[in-house]
Amino acid sequence: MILSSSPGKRALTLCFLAETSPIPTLLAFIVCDTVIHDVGTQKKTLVGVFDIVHSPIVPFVINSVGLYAKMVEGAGPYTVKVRMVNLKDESPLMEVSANAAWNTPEDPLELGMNFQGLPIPEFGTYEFQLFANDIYLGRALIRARKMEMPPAAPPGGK
Amino acid sequence: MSATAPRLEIRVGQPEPEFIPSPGKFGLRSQPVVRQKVLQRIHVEIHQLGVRPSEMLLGTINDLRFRVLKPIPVHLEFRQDGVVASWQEVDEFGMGNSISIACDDLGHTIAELFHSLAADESHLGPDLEKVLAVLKEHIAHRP
Repeated sequence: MILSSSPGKRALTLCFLAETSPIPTLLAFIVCDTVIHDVGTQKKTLVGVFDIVHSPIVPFVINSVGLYAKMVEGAGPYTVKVRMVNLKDESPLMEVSANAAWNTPEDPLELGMNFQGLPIPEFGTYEFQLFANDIYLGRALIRARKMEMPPAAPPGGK
Repeated sequence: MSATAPRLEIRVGQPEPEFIPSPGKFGLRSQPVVRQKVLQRIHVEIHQLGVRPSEMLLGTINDLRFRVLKPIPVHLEFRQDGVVASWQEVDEFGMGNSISIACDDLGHTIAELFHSLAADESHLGPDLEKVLAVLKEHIAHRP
């Protein structure tokens, strides 16, 4: 997981904020293959943005899933939580949380997560839900669809 | 978590890039990369799976004209035909096939209610004044 926000040159401004951290606004929440964080430039690269995954059978596993979120208008400490649910019945499949310190309120907070081996039990729609301090901020969807194979050519046919 | 649980790759502790000096064939001088910011070390937890919630706190109403100042307490009710998300303090609800869609619907309702009440603010009765006060406590127009 990658969490980045500028170190607190103006951390004292936090004193003017309310005791509890303000509710951030989610600008982007994107599903991709991998989120790459360049340490030198602090830039993030999203590789292979997708929202549909095909498979001939279920259950199957998505080898690599990256989640990228960009939030603004926040400050102070947060517990950021990502929850994955099957939208068929809202059953949760996975939940991950991380503590983050938002030191510079003027700067956005970016979050990058890379998962390996994400299980997909059945075809359908799955949702990644993003929470900050248990407050729901937004979601991103992926759809698992059956891969339709082309009909086999008849023997001897063209 | 079970043995089949997904593996989370933690990149916080990734090593710093290694500086590779150029051969200097053409008289080029190597420039080291300067890290201007330092990644924060964070603590990650993978939880046991819970059940679907009956209450949640809403931090967005999906309308960028508004900012949510205080989390909106939402009661969730699961029915055969979908989910009902309600904010009982202002007696409003939203419906949808999932929690998120029901919350989106509730958000649109809240935004419309805010607009209509704010437009007639000087003519509101005591009950609607109270509703508007609750709305203003939780959401605000962006400047």
